Amino acid sequence: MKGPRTDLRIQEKIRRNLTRPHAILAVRTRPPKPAGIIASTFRVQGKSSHLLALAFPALILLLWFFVTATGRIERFFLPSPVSTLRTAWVMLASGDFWSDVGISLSRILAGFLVASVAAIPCGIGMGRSRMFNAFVEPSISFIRFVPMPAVIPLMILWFGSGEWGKVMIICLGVFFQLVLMVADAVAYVPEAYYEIARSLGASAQQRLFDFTIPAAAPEIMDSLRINFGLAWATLIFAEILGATSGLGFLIVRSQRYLLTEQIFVAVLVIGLLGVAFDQIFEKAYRRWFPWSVQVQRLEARR
Amino acid sequence: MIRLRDVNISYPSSLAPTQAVQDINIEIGTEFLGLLGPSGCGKTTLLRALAGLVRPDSGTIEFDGTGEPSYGIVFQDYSLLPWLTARENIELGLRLQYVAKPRRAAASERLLKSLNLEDAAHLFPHQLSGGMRQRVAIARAFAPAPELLLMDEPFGALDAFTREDLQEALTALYESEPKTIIFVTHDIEEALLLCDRICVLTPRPGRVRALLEVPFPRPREFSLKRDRKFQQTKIVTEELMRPRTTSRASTLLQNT
Repeated sequence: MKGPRTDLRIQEKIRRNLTRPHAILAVRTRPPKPAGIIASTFRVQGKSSHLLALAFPALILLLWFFVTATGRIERFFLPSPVSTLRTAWVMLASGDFWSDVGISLSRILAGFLVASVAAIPCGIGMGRSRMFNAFVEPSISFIRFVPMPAVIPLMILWFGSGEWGKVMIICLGVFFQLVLMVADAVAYVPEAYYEIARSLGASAQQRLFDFTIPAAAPEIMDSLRINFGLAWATLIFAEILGATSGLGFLIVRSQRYLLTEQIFVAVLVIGLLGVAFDQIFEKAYRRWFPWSVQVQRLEARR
Repeated sequence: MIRLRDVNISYPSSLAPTQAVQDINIEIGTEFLGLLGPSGCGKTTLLRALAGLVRPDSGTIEFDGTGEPSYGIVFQDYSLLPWLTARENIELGLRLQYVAKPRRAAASERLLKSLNLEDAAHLFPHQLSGGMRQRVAIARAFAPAPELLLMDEPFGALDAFTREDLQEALTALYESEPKTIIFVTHDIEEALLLCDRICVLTPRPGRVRALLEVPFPRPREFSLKRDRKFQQTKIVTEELMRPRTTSRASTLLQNT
């Protein structure tokens, strides 16, 4: 039962709330969900996610430290982080190590450059010409499915274990993958761009340089990035199989002399260099193609 | 003058060739012509045939003068090159024709001004709103001063307010430099506001159901939407677009 007074009170309440609509909203909305301890500590979004990225390696490092600290594991089997760090210090201070790094880098840069220079025009041709594609695509697909390590011994036999051989291995390892990815990137350029090109009276040459290449460029760049990682792995493998210098050879030599610390250092450096290259590719991608769909998707996620 | 004679086009489907448009006969002068019809009636196909992107199975498309005219094209989407700024997009056609830089700059400056795009000149398409993007697309198509302008539902993806802005901008542009514009739409009001003549197409296969002269003088004010005559014309056109023209529509048609 409601008396006239209650009615008045309710009316007054509504009137007041109507002048302050947020008061009504405030009652209805739930309090914000408390963030998890980890998420709030590291503020997962933004720059602090770097901290979170380092947490996992730190955990592994800690585990490594304790496992070796028990003293039950032979040193040549699993050296302690401290002795690995000491070895790393000695190695990084020596010229030999840097010359190995330099040799590996020059091999990969040379091989990758030659492969890209050959694969990009070839891939563009495949992506634009149906006839050329029909001519070479099946063969390239076949070769692509043969894993590169399987033919490295053959390559060493043909080109020797000198520099030329290494460069050829990277070249061939990258070329067949890259050419197909470039062809795909070019084939997926939206037809609408060519219709615009036609409406603006573009010549065949203009169509290629003003439409096809810029439209496919981000995808091509992405293919380069993926294949660089692949080339890096192929190179190290080739150096392990047959070389007298380079980071891969360093691993073989260290194994021979049971210098397990050196293997660890080499593996870490290989991984870190790989990550560094990947970062360079990503930075370049973002800088050169701010308009690409992929970059916008990444920006939107922030 | 463009003459379409007995034009038949089917979709190039390997399963079963579907007739897209059938027996199209139209003569198009220097005018703003609307191709109006429900979705899937072949209006886009007809437009693409005019652009030379699709070949008719039979019939002819003739252009007066020296062979194929120069044309500009605007789509609902993908009308801009995302790696060029608004200004570079607008100047693209002129650049491809090796027009010297100062003349290019003058042309883009004029279009940027008349389409209210001056602040956006240095921005890339992904930094623009949908409406701004279509403004740039229109400017890009207008810049090389083509004889023929083909527009495929250019405002189809825009919200009502933005669409009206752009309709007004396009009308102003057309009235300041008349040329042949062929405009595909399924929006009756849009067709009536923009066009001089409307070609109403039937559902698949698209045939010319009627060619309407839009009875409103230029320059047009968009307040004309609220006129009684406008509403009446809209109703008649709506009736024409129904699958079967009712007898009511044909009597209405005779009265107008």
